[in-house]
Amino acid sequence: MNEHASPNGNGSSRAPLLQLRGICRSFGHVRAVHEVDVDLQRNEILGIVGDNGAGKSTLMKIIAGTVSPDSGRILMNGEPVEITTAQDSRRLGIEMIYQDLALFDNLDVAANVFIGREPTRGLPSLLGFLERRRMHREAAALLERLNIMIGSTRLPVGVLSGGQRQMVAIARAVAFEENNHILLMDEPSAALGATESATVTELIRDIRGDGLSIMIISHRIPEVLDLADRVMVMKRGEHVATLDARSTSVEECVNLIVAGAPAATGQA
Amino acid sequence: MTATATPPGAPLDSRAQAAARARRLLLGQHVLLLIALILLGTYFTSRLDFFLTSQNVLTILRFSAVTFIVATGFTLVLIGGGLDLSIGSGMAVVGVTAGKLFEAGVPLVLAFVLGVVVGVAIGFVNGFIVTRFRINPLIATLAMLFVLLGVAFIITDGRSTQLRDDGFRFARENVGGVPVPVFFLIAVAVLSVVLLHTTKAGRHLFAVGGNPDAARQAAMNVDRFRLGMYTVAGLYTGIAGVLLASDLGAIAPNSARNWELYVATAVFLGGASLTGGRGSVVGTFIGVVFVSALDNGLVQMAVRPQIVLIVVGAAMILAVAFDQRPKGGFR
Repeated sequence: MNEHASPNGNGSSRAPLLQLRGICRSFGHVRAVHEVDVDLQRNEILGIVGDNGAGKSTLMKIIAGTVSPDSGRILMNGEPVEITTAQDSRRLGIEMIYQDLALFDNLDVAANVFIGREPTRGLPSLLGFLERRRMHREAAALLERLNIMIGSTRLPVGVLSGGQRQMVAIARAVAFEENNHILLMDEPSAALGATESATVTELIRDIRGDGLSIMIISHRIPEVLDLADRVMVMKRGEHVATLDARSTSVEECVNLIVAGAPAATGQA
Repeated sequence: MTATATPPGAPLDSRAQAAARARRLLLGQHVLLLIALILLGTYFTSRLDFFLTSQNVLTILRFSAVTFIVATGFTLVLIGGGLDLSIGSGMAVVGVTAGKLFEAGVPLVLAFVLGVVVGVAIGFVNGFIVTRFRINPLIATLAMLFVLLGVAFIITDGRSTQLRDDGFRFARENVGGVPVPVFFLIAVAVLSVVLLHTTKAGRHLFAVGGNPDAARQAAMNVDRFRLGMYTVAGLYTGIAGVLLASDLGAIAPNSARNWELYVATAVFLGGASLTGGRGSVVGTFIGVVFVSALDNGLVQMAVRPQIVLIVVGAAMILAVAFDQRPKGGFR
C-alpha cells in the first residue's frame, strides 16, 4: 500500500483526505442526512455511531456514490470531486463493503477476491481465458499477508463462517491497493460472534497500518472506541459531535447517541 | 451445498484437505448420479438382453446427443439465473422451418443454417423479453412455449409430412461407426466447457446468476449477460432442432413435445439449480445419458409411454428435492 498517498500530486497535502461539506439528503419528508460536515484524515479510522435511522448508512452511500446528495460538496485532498456513481467513487480509490458483503456464495475464495478484475490471457476482454493458477496464488498470498485464516482459496465462499466471509470481503476491497485510499464499512461485525468480531477488528487495524483511511459504522460502542481514532455521533440525520476515541467513554458516547446535543466541538 | 462452517481461530485443515472437501461438495451429486446411472444400466441389462448391445448404446447416444445440445443451452440459462421453457417449441419451429425450406428446394446446408439462425433469433427474443420488459423468465418463456408452438402449427398447417430423404436424414448416418449427432454433441460440449469454465465471460455468468446485485456492484451488465446467454441457448436450440428434424426425416410441428420434461429432468439431475449460479456441462451430460437410458430401457420393457412420463417427472421431483434438501437431511 502506497504510504503518504497523494494521488493527484497536488500541493494541498495538508488538506484532509476526504471532506464533506453541508451534505443533505431527504427521502420524501424524511431528512436522512442534514447539513453534515465530515473530515477524514489520512490513515485514520473514523467510527460513525448513532441510532437506527440516524443517517449513517445514507451518509456512507453518498460517499460510495450509490446515493446522491441533494446538496453539499465533496472534496478529496482539498479538491472538489464529483461522485454520482459507484464507478466514480471507485475511480477515486473509495471502496465500500456493504452489510450483505456482496459475495458470491457459489464461487470460490479466489474468484470472489478477483471478481470483475480477473487477469486473463489470449482473447481480449470477456472472452479472455482466466489465469486461474495466478489468481489462486495471488489470493493465497493476499490472505497470508493479511493473516486471514482460510483453509484454501478453492473453497466456495458459501461454506465459510460469517467472520471468514467478512474477511474475504475486506481482502477483496483492499486487493487492488495501489488505487485504494478509503474503505467504507457498514456494520462489519453486526452478524458475528465475539471471537469472530475480534478477529475482524484485528484485520481492520492491520490494513489501516498500510496507509488506508477507514470509515466504520457500528452499533458496538466499546468496539468502535477501541478501534477508531475518532468517533462521529449522528442523530436524526444530523452530526451531533465528534469525539476523540481515546479520551471519551462508552457512557459519554451513548448519552450523545440517545440525547443528542449540538455539535459544539466543531466539525469532524 | 452443505454448510460446513469453520469456527474462527480454530486450527484450519490443511490446504489439501480443504481442496478435497471443496471437490467433494462440487462432485458429490455427480458421483451419486453416476452410481444411479450404473445401477439403472445394470437393472435394464439384467431384464433386457438387448439393452447393453452396441446397437442400443448407439441409439441411446444418438438420442442423448440432441437432448444434450439443447440441455446445455438450458444449463447456461439456469446458471445465469434464468429459465427457458420454450425449448421444445423452439426446436419445433426450427425443425419445420428447415424442413419446409428443404422441401421448397433450398439446398440442404443452407436450409439447416437458416434453421439454426431461426433458433438464434428465438433465443434473442426470449432474452429481450426477459431483460427489457422485466418479465419473470418462467412467465415469459411459458408464453413463448405456446407462441412458438402456434407458429410451428401455422407454418405446417398443423400437418406432419414425411420428407423424401435426398440427404435430409444425415443425422441417421454414422461416420466411422459413430452417429453424426455425436459429433455435434462433442462440438457443443467443447465450446460450452471452454466458454463456461475457462473464460472471464463464463465466470461472470456464474456471478450474475449467483448474486445479481453483487454482480451489478462489481460493474457487470447483468441484462447484457442474460440477453447473451438466451441467445447462445437459442443457437443450441437451433442445432438440436435441425438434428431432430433430420433424425425424423419429417416436417412435424409436434416433434419436440414433452422435451421440456426430459431436458429439465436431465439438467436438474446434473446439479444445476433454479436459484442460479450452479450447473456444469459434465453434470448435464451425465443427467442426459441417465434420462435417455431410463426412457430407452422403459420403452423396451414395453412400459406404456404415459407411465414413462410419470417416471421421468418423478425423477425431476427427486432431483430438485435432493438439491433443496435442508441441511442435515430430511427428517
